[in-house]
Amino acid sequence: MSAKTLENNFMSDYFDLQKKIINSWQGFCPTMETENSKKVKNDQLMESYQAFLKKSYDSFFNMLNPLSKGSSDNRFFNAMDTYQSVYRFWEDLVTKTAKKDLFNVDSFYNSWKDSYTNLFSADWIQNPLQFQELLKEPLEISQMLFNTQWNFFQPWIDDSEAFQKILEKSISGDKNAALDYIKLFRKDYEKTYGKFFDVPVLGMSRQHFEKQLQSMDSYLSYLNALNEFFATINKVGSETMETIVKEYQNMLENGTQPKTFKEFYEYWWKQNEEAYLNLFKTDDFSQLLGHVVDASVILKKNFDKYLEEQLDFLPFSKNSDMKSLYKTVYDLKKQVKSLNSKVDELIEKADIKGGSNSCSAAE
Amino acid sequence: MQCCGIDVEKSTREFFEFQKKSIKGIEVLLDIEDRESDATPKELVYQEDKMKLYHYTPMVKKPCKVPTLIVYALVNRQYMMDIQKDRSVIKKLLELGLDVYIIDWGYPTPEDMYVTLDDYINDYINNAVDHIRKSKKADKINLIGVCQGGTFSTIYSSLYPQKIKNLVTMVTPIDFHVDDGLLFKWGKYLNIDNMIDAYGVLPGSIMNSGYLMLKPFQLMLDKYVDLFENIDDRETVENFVRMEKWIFDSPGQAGEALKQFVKDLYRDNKLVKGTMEIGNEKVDLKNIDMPLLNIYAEYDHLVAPKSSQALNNLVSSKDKELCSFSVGHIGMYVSSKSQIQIAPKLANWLIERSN
Repeated sequence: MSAKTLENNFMSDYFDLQKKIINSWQGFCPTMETENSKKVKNDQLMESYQAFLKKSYDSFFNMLNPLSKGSSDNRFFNAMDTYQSVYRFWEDLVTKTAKKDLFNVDSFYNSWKDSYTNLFSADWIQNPLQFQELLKEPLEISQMLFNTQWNFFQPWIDDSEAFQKILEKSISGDKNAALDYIKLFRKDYEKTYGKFFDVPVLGMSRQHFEKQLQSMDSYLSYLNALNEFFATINKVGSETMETIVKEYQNMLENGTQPKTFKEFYEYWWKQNEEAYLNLFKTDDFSQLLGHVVDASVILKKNFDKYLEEQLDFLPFSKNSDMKSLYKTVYDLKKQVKSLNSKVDELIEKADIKGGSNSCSAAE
Repeated sequence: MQCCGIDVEKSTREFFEFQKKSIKGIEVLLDIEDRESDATPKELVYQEDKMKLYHYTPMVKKPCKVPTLIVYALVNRQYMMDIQKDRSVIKKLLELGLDVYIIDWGYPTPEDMYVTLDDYINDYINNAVDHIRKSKKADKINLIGVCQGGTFSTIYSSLYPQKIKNLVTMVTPIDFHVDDGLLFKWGKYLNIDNMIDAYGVLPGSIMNSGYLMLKPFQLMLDKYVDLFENIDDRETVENFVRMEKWIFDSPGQAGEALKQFVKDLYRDNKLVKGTMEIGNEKVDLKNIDMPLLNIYAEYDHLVAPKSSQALNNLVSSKDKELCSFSVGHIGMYVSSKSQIQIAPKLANWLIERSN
């Protein structure tokens, strides 16, 4: 299961939730059908208004996009992409819900599913710790190595009674089911297949094979940890969206809803920020974060070891050789500094002694 | 006029404004000047490994007789205190009559992975202090510690109280077990041994990822959207770019030193408990008997105010002051308050006690 797959699953769930929002929106959107003439007028107005807004945005982003090319790591342009996507979503939502009689929730979702995924692809939510930087290369190589191994685990997942029950819960709409599934998966993995990787290996290539197994084990442990991490993040995102929907309904009733995209955006990000900070403050999240970071660095350590072994025949010094050299240089440097300071002290003492002697001589 | 819950008039105004800003913004983005930070004149006076000690050229005829050393954190770079001419804390301190030195820790490379807290405090800081004392023929100097540099300065002052005339700590973490502050919470659960084993010198980008998570939507999205709102204002954009450059100019962290910092402080809170050791010597905060000015930021999201406040109850100084400003961690050095209130408070407090 790749990070991309995880991201897609996350977005699938996210879209299911968005469906609920649209349904609620439809229920609460001000009715414009009381007078035919008014309806036509409002529809026309809305169309021209949206066309105007679209033109405004397009003209700017058409100008901006050439600048962003070649700046894929530019945080400003990434943020602008996200902002633009939130706007596109809002714009389409408002336009389509205005034509209430023609609006089809399913087709709206299908048309937005892929684009909405892009909203979160600007590097801030799918990689809260920017793991891509941490593990990009090891992961790519690991994925190539272990993709074929992954099928081995599929029957184990399918046959598990406990997993079936959780899946049933999930179907009946239990929001915790996904997280429970991942937790159970990790637990069972550690009890069964995780142990498999620790089984002593015999034969000529024993050490080499053991390192491979260790590397595979740490990769799968890392994926399990990451899976749990994203499920937790996803759960808070879903709950926040539900809260936003409910609050929005109340605001619509009171006439206090965000009246422009700018207002909607302000409201949207502050709600999300607060929800995530509440999550981050918990001990459970701190432990989970510690666990993910630890799993990632263990993977790096094991994979580095594995690579060193593979490249051992090359006439280059390895990382472990360099570490040993750094330690020697550090110790020698300390020794030199200590000796220098002793020499300085001796010179100072000699100067004082010499000075007092010359004074005595003068006297 | 409302349509589908949208205020059409207001939205239209917003979008006209947006278009105007867009057109001017493109011009600004293509033509911004990258004016340099760290521009106040200074001279390199001492160097040891990657540590450099700079002496700023005094800006008054008779500067304060007791020289002042600024010790900055290992995370990020010290030129935040000299970010630009019209917002430079250093320049302001010089104008107000201080004789200022600053330590630049440099950028640790893999060969520095074994450098310890003992090296930072007993060697680098101590040698810098001795160099200043010797060259200025001064028994004691003033010490200003910033953020983690404040923790180092506090430890140093407890080990070498005879060399410090006055101690100033700014946004300094002391009590690492306070309830507030995500970093304190997360730090306890990090397996620092594995992290350092894997990296040797922990990359600054990893540290930055953690800092960004402290306010994820604000720091990774809204900050840039906000810039966009002001994209037609050249000065705002230039200031933003300068700050952005500084924020992501993050040196790696020497592994051994970071390991001890996380274990002894984040995990075990040894400084407050009085059980911390540097080299083979115990750090007793009661040894701090010189005048102390402890400054914290009321809206600090990196170092919880409670963590800084704890220091005043742990030292034996009779002349001690706890002082706060309604700014954030970075605002302490780059906000308008830093020029009007904070730097003058700091300089006057030191000058009054330097006779």
